[in-house]
Amino acid sequence: MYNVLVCDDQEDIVSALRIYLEAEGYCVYAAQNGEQALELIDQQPLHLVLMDIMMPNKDGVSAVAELRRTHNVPVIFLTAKSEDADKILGLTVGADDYITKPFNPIELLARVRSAIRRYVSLGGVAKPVENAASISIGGIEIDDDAKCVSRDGDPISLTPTEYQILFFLMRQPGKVFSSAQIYIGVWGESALGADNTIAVHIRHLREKLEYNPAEPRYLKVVWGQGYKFDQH
Amino acid sequence: MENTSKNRTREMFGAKIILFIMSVALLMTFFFSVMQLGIYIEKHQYQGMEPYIDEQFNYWGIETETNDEVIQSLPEEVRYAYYILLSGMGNSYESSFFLSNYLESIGINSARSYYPALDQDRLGYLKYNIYSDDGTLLASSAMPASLGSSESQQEVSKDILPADHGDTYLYRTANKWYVYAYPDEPDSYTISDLRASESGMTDVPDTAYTVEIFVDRLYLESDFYFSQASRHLLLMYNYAQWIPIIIIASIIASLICLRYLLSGMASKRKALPSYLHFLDYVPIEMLLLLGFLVTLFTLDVAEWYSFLSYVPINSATVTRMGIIIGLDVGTLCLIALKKSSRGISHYSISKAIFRMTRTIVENLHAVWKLVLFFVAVTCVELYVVLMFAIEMNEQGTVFGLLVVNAGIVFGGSWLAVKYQRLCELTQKIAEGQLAYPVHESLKKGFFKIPARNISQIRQSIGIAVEEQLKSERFKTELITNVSHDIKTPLTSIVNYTHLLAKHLEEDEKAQEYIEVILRNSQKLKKLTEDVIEAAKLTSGVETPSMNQCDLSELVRQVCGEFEERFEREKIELVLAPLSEKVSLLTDARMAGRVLDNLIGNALKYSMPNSRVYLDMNVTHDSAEIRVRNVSNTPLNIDADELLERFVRADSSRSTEGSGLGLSIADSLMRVMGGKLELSIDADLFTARAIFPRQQEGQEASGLSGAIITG
Repeated sequence: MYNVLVCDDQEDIVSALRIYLEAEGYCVYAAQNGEQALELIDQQPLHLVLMDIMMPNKDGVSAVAELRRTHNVPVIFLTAKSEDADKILGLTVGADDYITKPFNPIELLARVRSAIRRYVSLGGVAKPVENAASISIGGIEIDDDAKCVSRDGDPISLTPTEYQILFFLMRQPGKVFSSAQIYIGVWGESALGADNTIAVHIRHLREKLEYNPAEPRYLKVVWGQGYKFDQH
Repeated sequence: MENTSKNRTREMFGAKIILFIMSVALLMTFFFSVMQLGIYIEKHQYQGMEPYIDEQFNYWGIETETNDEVIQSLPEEVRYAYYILLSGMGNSYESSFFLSNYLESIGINSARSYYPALDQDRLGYLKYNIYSDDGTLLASSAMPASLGSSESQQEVSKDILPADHGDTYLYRTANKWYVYAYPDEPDSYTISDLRASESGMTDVPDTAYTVEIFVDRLYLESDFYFSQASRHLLLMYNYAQWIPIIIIASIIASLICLRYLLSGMASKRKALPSYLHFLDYVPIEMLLLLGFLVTLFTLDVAEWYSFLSYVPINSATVTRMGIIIGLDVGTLCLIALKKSSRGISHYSISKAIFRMTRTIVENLHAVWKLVLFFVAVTCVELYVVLMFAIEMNEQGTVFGLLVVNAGIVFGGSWLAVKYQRLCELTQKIAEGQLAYPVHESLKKGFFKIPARNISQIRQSIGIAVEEQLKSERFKTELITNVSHDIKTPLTSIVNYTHLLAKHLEEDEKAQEYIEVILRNSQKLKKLTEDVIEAAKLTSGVETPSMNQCDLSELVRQVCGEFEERFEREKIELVLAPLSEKVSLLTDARMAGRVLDNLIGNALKYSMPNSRVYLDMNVTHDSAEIRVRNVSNTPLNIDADELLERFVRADSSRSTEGSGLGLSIADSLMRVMGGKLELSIDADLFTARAIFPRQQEGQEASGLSGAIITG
């Protein structure tokens, strides 16, 4: 039984979230603003905080900033602010994830599950690499021996090509590879000029790997340069 | 085609030659007429109101620098001789040497300068005797009419050499004319000195001697040159009133000729002809000089052969006329031969010098401009004042003038310094540096008022700009806030719709309705996001972060994102082979958005089962991505109108899309320094995103600064 704190000044949203989360078996605590949330955190052991940004009394960003001084609990921002600058600010302040309103409840639940799992079972850090063939970044784990991929413990089925591309990118997380480089890395030969095979494969891969393919967390596009595997 | 134009050129060339000759002839008429008018006026002035004509010889008096009285008091014979000399008849200097000397000796100083020339034969009509005051005959020409040998000529000349005379007396008796000339200063160069040194005659008294001159009338009357000159002058006198008319008529006629001569040439606005021959590259001044020299030479030869000798003009006038005609003939040659008037101004030394001077003057500091101006003024002043002051022996005035001018230069320089500062101030403000400080020296004195006004204008501009920015920011903020306020209830709608979907899992109809609600909620979300982006782009809140990126990669990436959607919509995306790597300095994320919008637009509005073509055109300084598709609805709309916000090709607005896509793409392109061009050709819709392209190596920030998004 995990405790989830939902902090939003909109009653309707809080109750909708309560329905969803309780249906999944979480114990939901509600707060109207940042101050209440901070009080509740001190009273209850929590496993996750879902936090709005624009709230009266204390907004989400300053609440999280304050919270981070004492607590390690995962925080997901749940906000109508959808611009890049807002996302960057939210993640910088110490949030683990960022979901824009209006959100898809199924996606939200998946992310909640992922965050709690990482916090509880994986201890918030990537497992030390036991063998060179196994890589784990964020919630994605790839085992080259077994040729299997999992996200937050759930296995994901990929085609051999997709698997190879993912493995290629995950070996050097954070590094940007152009499609030509990926092509050479995977097939060992150079691609033709107008070939967008890699882009298509990446898209498929993203649909399987990401909770919300439109806002990927792992497999990112660097426009005009290439692709990279990254967490956040 | 080519042949026709060649023929036309040839025809035109013939016409040009005729026009050219006509122009020259008319111009020559013009200058001759002007000259005749000049002679007429001179005579008129010289003779007083009534033109003077010698009754016996129909011959006019002629200009002289000696006063009228002297000339008038000359005996007829001497005067005739003098006129003939001044008429410039003949060209033998030596033969008339003695006469000019004589005339000079009696105060008619201009005689020598007219290069008088008489045929040796014609010397016959001038006779003279020179006596000393005691009546002894010193020299005489009362010998044969022709001074045949050069020996005797020389002798005569020596005898007649002018005294450095002071007073000259003239008086006549019944049949003789006497000239008495006294040496001014006995110590100086006198006739006796000369005589003593050159001919050994020592006993000539300094006091006075008599020159007796007379003309052999019979000889004169039978002289061809004299009669020609007389006839000419008589003709000129009788038709004097026509001269101005001839002048005006010839000017007008020659101008008309010139106008037609020039009409065939390219105007200044037209481009230079595609081919130029070497003459077009020769500076205009060179041709002018050539024309001038050729004309001068021609006239000189003509004069040499007495070609113009029956016309009573002297050689100095001929030279002047030569210069004038030479200049004009040269100019005409040039105009006729150069292919275009623009070519003339293109290859010109004086124009180049003028341009250079102008550039220098424009860039000069105001103080130097002022100094230059005053130097010029002072030069003119000095010239004028010196002419009078030196005559009047007033060096003090000149000095005073110099002091005053120096004072003006120094005073003016101070003002010029201030003026320069004022210029700098306005320049900086014009460049947008509104905070540029007003120099202390401008705050008082001469430029106080303009400086104060500039300060005020600057303040007003500053306020206006700030207001504008504030209002733009306010607008953006408003839109952002409204969008957020829309999203919050939307969240509830989406959430509860999902919940409802769970509740009514069995009900198929309900599921269908819920699907519609969710789809439209999603559309609403997209719309609010687009509105925010559009507002931000137009208000300048969003600035691009430029980075080096590969446009080919970008196109591949964006196209990759669309692959499945194209397949789903049964539309084929035809991607032209891309270049290996097109590096470009731009905001890759924004560029991606533009491409995304363009391809998305093509996908949304294409005819089913049609093809969308995407190709790239890279040049040295720009890269262009072109997306072409066939619209599924008739495009009865202006291409520019499509860039307006919320405008869509289908007025029913049934399809998905906010109507902001192209407007945002346009704004994005503009923010990045590129442009978006749309064109509609029936149902074919073409969008061209043109990125400016800097030279490689200008920006080497690399990958580090790239903004990373989904």
